[in-house]
Amino acid sequence: MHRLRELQERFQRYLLDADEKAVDGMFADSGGADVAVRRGVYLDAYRLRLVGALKADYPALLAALGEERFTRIGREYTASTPSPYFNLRWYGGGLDRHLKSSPDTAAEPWLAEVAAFEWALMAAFDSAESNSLRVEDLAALAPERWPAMQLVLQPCVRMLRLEFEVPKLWKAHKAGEDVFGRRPRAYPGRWLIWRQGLETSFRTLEPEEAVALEVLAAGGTFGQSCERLDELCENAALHAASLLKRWLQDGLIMDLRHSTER
Amino acid sequence: MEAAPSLGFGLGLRTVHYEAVLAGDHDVDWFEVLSENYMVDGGKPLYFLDRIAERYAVVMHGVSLSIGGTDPLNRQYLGRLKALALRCRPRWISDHLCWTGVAHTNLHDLMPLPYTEEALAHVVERVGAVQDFLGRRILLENVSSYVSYSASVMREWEFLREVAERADCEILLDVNNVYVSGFNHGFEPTTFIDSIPVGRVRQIHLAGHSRHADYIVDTHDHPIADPVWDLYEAAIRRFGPVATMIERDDHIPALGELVGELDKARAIAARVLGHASAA
Repeated sequence: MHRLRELQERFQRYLLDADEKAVDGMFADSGGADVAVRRGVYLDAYRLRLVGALKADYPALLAALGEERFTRIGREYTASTPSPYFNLRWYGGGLDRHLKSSPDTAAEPWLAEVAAFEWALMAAFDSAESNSLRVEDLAALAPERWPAMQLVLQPCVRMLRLEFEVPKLWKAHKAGEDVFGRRPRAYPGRWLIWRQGLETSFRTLEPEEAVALEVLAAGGTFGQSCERLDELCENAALHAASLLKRWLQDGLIMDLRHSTER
Repeated sequence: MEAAPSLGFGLGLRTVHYEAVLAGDHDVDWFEVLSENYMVDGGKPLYFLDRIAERYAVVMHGVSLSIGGTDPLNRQYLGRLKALALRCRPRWISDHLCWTGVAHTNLHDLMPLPYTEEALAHVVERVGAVQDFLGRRILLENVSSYVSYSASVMREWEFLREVAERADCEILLDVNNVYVSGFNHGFEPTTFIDSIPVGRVRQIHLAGHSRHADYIVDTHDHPIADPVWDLYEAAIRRFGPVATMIERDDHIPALGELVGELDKARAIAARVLGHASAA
């Protein structure tokens, strides 16, 4: 398959780098349209398809940037980022980093935040399903065993730190409002994104809750989560119990494991 | 090849139609699902797929197998393909006779192969490996193409026929693609149709295309063009009651409009085959 391999490498180089020399002599003239036009169909389709996938994944960012600017930035991204994925849906995961580093957008940091937020929503949307732990499941457990239990978060749970009012703007955009005509206001905070059934949700996280959830996300126990809370607030035990109740109601906890360590 | 009963007339399942498919009683016999769209861990697409597969026959159609690619077969992809097949129990699994990228890159396009002995041997070997892994025959679809390689030593239909015969796989005949490639490369589409072995064709695709001054692009964003309907008639005359479906990937109309287009396919097949319920 030596010749076939070489042909494919050359054709691919033409598509990725628009390097016309790579396909010199590769194509036969079969009448009708010129060879340059014919090979150009593939070049145009490659760019259009990848930028089109980005537009589908980032509707709020598209509204924020406008069609022309999004297309320009999308072309930059596709030029620097070949897809290793068999599913086009996963292609745009690095767009927030690109927006942070591109000279075109680096001075508008909320744009990268819009991208990160939309990507987190999509990741929650596509994540695996499993039953959530219920309040009754926990009630069956003796209280003295609670500190050693590991609360396993659902795979859909995402946490984001944002500096701007991006979720609010995203929601207003989804409702059909034109929200990107002005510079977004600062609204620093932590956000929780998750899915219950088929519904993707998000809400702000108080600093204590964010810290407690991060302990769980890292595989820590409920007891360790309480210890961190104790450093941050009074009545940590009461606070932890109320947080736990909310996590169960929100369906954030997938499973309970008993740690052998305290 | 043993004769298999036809599934009848189907549509490509698209996300905008999920609710409509489940809400109504449509005259659609089966749905074709795009395999990669359901290779996710959970969420809405799989939720609807599970419910639609309970009510309708489904077939799986992929775009990333890269059967003609020269990277090793992607075992992770094949594993997910097999897992999806276990989940939705498709009547068959298809992909395209093409390559989609090398060096771990996916171009997300259906790139044509050079019609050479080397490419033929390569594809035949890989089809065998895929069929062994999946434990079933696959269908390969002819793609639309815009370039001809200087290296080719046979015609597309000869290449497709040889792949199917030597690898013992089946064919998804895309009638629109035959028409598009015929226009682009100056061959008579009926020559293609007449060269494909009867009995290997398990499914037919119909779709719309975009006409430019001196070439046609396979865009799946228009209703089926009249010359493609004529070619479909020729295909049914040759291959008999083969399962037929319509693909629409852009400017997707309401489900009812596509069902109406499907009725046209039914009518053509009924007329050609001489009875009311052709397939």
